Amino acid sequence: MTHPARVLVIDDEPAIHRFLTPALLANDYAVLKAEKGSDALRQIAADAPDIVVLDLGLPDMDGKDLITRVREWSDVPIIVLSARDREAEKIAALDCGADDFVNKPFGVGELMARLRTALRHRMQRRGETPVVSVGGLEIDVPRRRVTWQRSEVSLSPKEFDLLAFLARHAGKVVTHRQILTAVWGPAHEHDTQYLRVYVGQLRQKIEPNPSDPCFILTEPGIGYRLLDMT
Amino acid sequence: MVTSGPQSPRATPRTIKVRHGGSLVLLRNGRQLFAMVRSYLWSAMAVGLAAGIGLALTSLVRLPNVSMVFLLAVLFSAARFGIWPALVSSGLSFLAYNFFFIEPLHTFSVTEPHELLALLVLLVAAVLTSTIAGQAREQARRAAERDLASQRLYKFARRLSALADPRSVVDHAAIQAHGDLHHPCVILLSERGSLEIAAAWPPEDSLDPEARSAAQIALAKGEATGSGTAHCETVPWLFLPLRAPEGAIGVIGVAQPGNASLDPETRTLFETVAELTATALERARLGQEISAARTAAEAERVRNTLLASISHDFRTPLASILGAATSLIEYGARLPEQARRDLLVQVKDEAEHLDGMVRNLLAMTRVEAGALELNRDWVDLQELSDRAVVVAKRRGALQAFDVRVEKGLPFVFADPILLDQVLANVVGNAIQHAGSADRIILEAKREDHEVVLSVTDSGPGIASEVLPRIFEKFARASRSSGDAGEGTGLGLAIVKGIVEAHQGTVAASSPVADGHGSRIEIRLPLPKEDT
Repeated sequence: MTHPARVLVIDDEPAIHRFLTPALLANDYAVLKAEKGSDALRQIAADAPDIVVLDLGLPDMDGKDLITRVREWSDVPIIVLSARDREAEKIAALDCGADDFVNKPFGVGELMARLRTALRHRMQRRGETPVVSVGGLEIDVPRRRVTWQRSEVSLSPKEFDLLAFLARHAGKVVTHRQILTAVWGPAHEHDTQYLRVYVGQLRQKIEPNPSDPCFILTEPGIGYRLLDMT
Repeated sequence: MVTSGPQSPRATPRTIKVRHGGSLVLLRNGRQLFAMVRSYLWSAMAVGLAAGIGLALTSLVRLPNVSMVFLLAVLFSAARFGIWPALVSSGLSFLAYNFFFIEPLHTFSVTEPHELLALLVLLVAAVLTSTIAGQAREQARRAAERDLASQRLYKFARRLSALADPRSVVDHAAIQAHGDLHHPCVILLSERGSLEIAAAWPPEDSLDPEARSAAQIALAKGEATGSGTAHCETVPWLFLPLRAPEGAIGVIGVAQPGNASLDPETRTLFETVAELTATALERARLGQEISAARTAAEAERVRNTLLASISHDFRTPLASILGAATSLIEYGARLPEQARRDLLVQVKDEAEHLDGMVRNLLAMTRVEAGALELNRDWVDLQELSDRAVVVAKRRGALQAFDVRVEKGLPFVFADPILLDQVLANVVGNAIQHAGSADRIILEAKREDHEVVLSVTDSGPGIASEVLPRIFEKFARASRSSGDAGEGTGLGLAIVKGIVEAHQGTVAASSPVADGHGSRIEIRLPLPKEDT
């Protein structure tokens, strides 16, 4: 990247801006700020930021509405900040088109990791990478082959589809509904018990320690996230 | 307000119209028709029997007049079956008498006019006797009805006294009144100035404006209105006020189709129902007020304890955060790198600690408010237990953990987030009570139609005086470094609230073995199709 990526932080709490701004600057981002949803919409249109950090608890606008409106004309990555006990709100935001979420309160390292992942995905969107490599795990999508530390892992077709879908979104959270719709089809979007069974089987096959997974992480109540080591 | 009481399925009776006793009688079913036919048969048989006895007697002794025997048969029919069978009986008697005992024998021809006198006597006897017997029967029936009514009222009063909720009182009262009066009944209660239908039987949720204004007047005047009263007598309803010490609180009404008015006895019955209902309503209202006051007092106590707990438990981490931060601001430049880092880590740790406390407090308020919304999903207890152990270790638990999940254990349909919190709190509690060299066992297995999730530690156990109160708010075993509720004494109370919201149960036992250890056991019901 020739110019620093520009982050628009939308939050009505000055304290959040106060600690996020230096942290973002220290990570070589340029920082834009908005305190209200209406201002944020204008700024996204006028300044075309590279990524958006949106606090869902805005006073003047429902965060989901904002995401929906932005998605009508922009695919800028959006990371939402939300209280931990508001799973429904997070799932709704993700389904509206948000790319990822961070629970409030959060450590700044976590937010930076989410920003990096989202920005990388945005660049990858232009050309699919056929081989995804995650910490010793290699997933060759066109040849439907998975290797763990160079030795081949045998997966059933559904297990492979599931892993490939997670790998395509490596580092990002994917909701149960997104996975079920993509892997099993729209008719199965509520059959989370399939998903639990297959995730369990996959973990048995690819995780060094299935009871403390390090690749496929559970986001309780929301979905799964394939760890992104790159 | 629409209220429908318990629906009692009742088959519509088959109605047969039969002319009987000079009036159109509705026979409810075939059995009644049969009873009627039987009364005529019995009457005929009595006449036959009388004829037989008469023949037998005349063959033994010469009797001047055998008609007395037939009189017996007529009296029997009149007393037993009423006027019509009695008249039939007297006719038959006359014919039989004429046929068997009057010359020329074995014909029906009447030669002497005085023989017709016998018929007249029999007919008169039939009418008189049946009338007297009918009156006696009617009196007996009324007495039995009164008895039945007072029994019903007694039962009604007893049932009402067991009801604590005004809604169930009015539901029962409407059904009772309908049962006693056989017309639609409605109960309206005055709610914030307006009169609303609280119950009706048969279920009904509207009242025409005229009837409603009659009900309003009954409420306002505290007097009966509607048909048969001084007010709104054209309205085909009778409304009685439900009187409480401070005035009428509502109205009970019974439909009066065709503006018929109730007979005095039924009216008294209705008034008694109204009185009982008003008393029961008043009692239920008072009961609710008392329990509301008690709840408010309990909430007040919880709030106070919570505030005390917060001000104590929040102060400690806040003090360290403030201390560490001011140290860094004032002396940061002079501190060695390692010390600066330690202070910053302390700020972070204490902030996380505070976050945990806030989470638990929030969870407690949700549990308390009964506003726990369950987002149920399939939960794999193996994954849940593994995660609880990983989180505990990450937080610095030193104990050895052992996860034993039965093979093939079905998934539980529960709120995954809340269940996570349940297990985190129970495990946190075990960590707090066990020494660092102790062992903590997480076990999940199926028992009949339940899943049993237990956490057992080999620590010193829970003191017997604390054990019964362990799931109460702020019941902590000791004021040690903080419990699973991150120091608020709420951890296990939250566990109980969440588990009960899932229709599950939670129990604690200690000691578990050799006077050591404690166990918290959570039982969650499995979905029906799995059992």
